Amino acid sequence: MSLKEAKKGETVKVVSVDASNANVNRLCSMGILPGSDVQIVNNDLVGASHVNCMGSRMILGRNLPNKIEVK
Amino acid sequence: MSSKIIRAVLAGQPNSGKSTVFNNLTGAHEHVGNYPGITVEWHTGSRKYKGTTFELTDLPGTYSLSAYSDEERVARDYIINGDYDFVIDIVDASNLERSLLLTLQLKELGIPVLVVLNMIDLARKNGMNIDKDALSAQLGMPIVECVGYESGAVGAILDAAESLYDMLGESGSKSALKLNAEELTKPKPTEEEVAVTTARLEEIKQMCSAAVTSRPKEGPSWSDKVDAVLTNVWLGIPIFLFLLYLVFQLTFTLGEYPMGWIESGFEWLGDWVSGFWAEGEESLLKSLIVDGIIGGLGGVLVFLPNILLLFLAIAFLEDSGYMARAAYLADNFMKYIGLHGKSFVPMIIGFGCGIPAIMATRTLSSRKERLITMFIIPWMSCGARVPIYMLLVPAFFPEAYQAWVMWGLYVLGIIVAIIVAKIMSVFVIREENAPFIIELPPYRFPTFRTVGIHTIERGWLYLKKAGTILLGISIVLWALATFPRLPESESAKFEAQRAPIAQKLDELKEANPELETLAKDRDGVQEERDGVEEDAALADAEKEKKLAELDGQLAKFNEQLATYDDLTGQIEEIDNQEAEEQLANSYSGRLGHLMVPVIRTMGFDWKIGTAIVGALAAKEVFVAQMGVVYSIGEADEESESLRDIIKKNYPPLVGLSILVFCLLSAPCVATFAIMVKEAGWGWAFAQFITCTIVAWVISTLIYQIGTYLQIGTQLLM
Repeated sequence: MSLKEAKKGETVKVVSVDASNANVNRLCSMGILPGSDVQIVNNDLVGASHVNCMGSRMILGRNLPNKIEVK
Repeated sequence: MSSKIIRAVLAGQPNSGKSTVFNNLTGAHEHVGNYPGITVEWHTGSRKYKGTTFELTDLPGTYSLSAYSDEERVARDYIINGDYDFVIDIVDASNLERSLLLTLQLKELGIPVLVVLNMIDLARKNGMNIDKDALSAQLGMPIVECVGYESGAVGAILDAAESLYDMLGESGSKSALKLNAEELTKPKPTEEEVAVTTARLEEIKQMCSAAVTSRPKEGPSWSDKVDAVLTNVWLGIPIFLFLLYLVFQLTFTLGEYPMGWIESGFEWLGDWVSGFWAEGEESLLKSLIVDGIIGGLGGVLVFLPNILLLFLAIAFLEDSGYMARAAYLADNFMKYIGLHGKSFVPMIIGFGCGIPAIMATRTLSSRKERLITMFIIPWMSCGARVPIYMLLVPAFFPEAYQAWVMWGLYVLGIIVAIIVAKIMSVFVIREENAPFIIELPPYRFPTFRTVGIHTIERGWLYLKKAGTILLGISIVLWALATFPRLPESESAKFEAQRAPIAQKLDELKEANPELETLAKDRDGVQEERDGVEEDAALADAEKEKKLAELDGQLAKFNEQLATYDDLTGQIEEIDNQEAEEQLANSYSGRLGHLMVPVIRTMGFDWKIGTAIVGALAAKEVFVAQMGVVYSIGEADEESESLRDIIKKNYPPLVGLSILVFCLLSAPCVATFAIMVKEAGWGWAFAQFITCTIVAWVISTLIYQIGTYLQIGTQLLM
């Protein structure tokens, strides 16, 4: 499933990121890459997800959550 | 003992508290923000400590050294090519693992690094226990623990820096920098980047398993709970707009008191200086000092309280961490106009001043978003326009509507900005938008110190600008409005008109010596009446009673002073005519006259034309110029305040037209200059011309429609 489909409070593992080079590199530097654990803080946001990764809160917007495959 | 000079550069991720540490180390008043990427240029400062000079450079906060955005490029280029001895890596101890990603990149480059575990108090509170020595051994780097804003941090960091320096030896240190540094930090293809980062994270995990113990956190944090409300679109956006409204209320209502003090202070100063010249011997020098210098300076200083309060509010929003949430909320609508939520932060800063705002667009990683944001910043009503609003809004609008008019102006600016941004993103710059990833730092109660530093620093910048450029401009404008002098024959004509009336007045005064005292007493009563009228604490019934009583007194005075008033009124009228003629004849008058055919459609006369020319230099000069335009050549310095004069000369519709024009028209020369620097001459000119045309069109529409509908076309006085 995509990150957007995960439930609030759930912790999921990133499987793949299907985004542009710039996006993937930026996500990597913030700790979101295949293999990392991401906790969903809030997924009700319009087109965006509020997640917790390695202890910091981030908002991923603009469809990016739909491009991140998690399990 | 020879004095050592140690040069170190501060690197760290956004929100690592790097700028706080830097401020503490150098005492430099540099901007500290809680918003990712608030430091857009590097700053330097130095400090003498135990006989050693430390030269410190603060780099923009970056998540990594692979250069995707401008600020990352700045940091990376400095680290690879800069002239320094070693890096001080500021690590957020409460967010250790991710922060160490950057540390490992520095290590791979072979640069000597001193690691500073900042916010160690927060980490401990969160249940983390970091074995500093074990971690240091794992990393192969010296480590200091500190709490960035505490004074103890300075000694700890500088002592460690000195011992690292001694250990590296005088030979310098960066020799170890890998030759292929450029290669190591250049953007990599997706798979490679993922593989490299995975390896680094694995390494970090191993280090931390040996050096860090932490108990798992239970439940959502306080910050998360607050965010559940503040980042909710339906609740968050209204709260955000309400906060903005609150900021303006605070700025304008609280600012009123100190403004009054400053105003009377300058009035007193002007009178005191005028006292050095005997009556009837008004020279050019007196006019220069009183009208040009004191008047111009007063006109600038009087708005300092407003500006300080506005900056205080913005600093509070930034440092509390709210700005990052605002950026997310903003992205919900910013994306529709082709902008990033992050663009909102420079735009908000634009309400303070366009110059730092345009510089702050460096945090935007896409060229398109950056250019559009810079382009629309002049429509964010900056602090320098506040003087214009404060002068004109109370003059033309009843008190109950003043805050709304002010709010409406800000909103109008935003609407115009949105429309232009949309047009640009669809038709002018058609490139792809950058990703939207934004970190939400934990909410922090801003420390008095950092908010204070921001506010004072920005206020100081305003004053520096006011004290130098604006004073200079004030004097130039005074000269433009004063020269050439009216020809002798013209002055003589006015003198001939004045002489018989003055003689009559003198005779009257001789016959009734008490008249002048009476006039003074009347002023006193009038002042008392104004005070009563504005006294909100007074009950309505009592107020009416008092007012009626005072009105009665005034009527009696007016009766006794009827002839006196008539004569002084006639003289004043002649004086005004002469002043007007003098100004019409001056250089700035001529320039204003030249503009009349174009600005007439907005209801402006040549005097406003003259003032808007002045406003090009800096927006607040509009006020100084209006002051000079109307007070020059007046014999009596205390005649009327500028606001009353404007009220007498223009109907409210023209007032609104001026307000809108000043809001939307071309940015000041300083903004133009920074635009040239950041975006090039072409963009700067495009911006200048677009602003002017948009302002002209909208003000013309307002004036023409208002005139047609007969709204606000009557003079108020």
